[in-house]
Amino acid sequence: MLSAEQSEYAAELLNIAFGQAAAPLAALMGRFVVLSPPQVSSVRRAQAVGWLEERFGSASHVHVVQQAFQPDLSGEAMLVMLAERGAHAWGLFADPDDGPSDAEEKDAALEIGNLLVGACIGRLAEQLGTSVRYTPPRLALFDRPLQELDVKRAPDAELLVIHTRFSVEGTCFESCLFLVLSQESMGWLGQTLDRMLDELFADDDSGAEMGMAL
Amino acid sequence: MRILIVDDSSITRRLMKHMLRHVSPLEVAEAENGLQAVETYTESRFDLVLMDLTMPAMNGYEACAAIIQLDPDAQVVIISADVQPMARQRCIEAGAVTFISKPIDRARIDELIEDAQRRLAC
Repeated sequence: MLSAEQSEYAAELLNIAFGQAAAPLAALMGRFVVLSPPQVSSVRRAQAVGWLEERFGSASHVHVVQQAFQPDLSGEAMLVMLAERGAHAWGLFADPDDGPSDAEEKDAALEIGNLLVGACIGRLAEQLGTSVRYTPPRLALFDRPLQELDVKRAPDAELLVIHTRFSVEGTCFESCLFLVLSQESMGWLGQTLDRMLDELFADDDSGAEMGMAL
Repeated sequence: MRILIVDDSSITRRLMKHMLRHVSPLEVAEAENGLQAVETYTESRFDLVLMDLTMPAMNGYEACAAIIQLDPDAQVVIISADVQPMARQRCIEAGAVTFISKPIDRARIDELIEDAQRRLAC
């Protein structure tokens, strides 16, 4: 469990990660991406569906892209994307009124998942002074009720939740990134964030690499 | 020098204040979002506004434009992780004097302060 200060610092690091992810996504789509501030919180795995229902509505259908990563930052990312109310993943790349085929929507969901998870985790790891290896992303759910999200495995596991919204020229695409970190990794993350905060606010200006911050 | 720091992250606001601690004389005010920034600027003018872009309540584009409307000479600097070329362009269109990308480069902040001090000395 991260402290309030650690969570806020992690949120800012993720804000930077998402901001930098927006640029290649915008270039890919040829459109401007408006980001909402990412909100970071934690929830037990068993409560994840309820958490999503509160935000997306209980009748929502979702796409879920999963991708594992390791070693210091070790765990699994689950990107949950709203798959209705005109918020199709395909709509980020083309006019959603064109009526994408399932194959096109799957491709778009996987592409967005790959981009966002890679950018988010990769940039977070880089800022934390480590690197990550990934497994290939997989589409765990496609246009299914969000109640089908797998929360049975390790129901008490604490999930780090990053909630953000992408708006693309009238198309509202909402996504939620869950990070399931191993217990060792959560401990490593907390210690690393504390060390970085200490360095950021050190009084000694001659300290190493104070030039770049947050 | 009077500086208004606008960012929804309290850690970033704290860090910016820490970066500015050698500036003298210095008076710093803080706002958590664009709306608060506009309200604060309405009450009192500042020599420099350091503003985030992605914030709740009112984003940096809107807040920058509103401040420029209040004070066409306002010096608003956008500091954001959103590195889309169009984001930079929209900031300039909103009236910002420049755009700095996050992570914040301390040397750029020092340059901004030197520029502002030179401007104030004229």
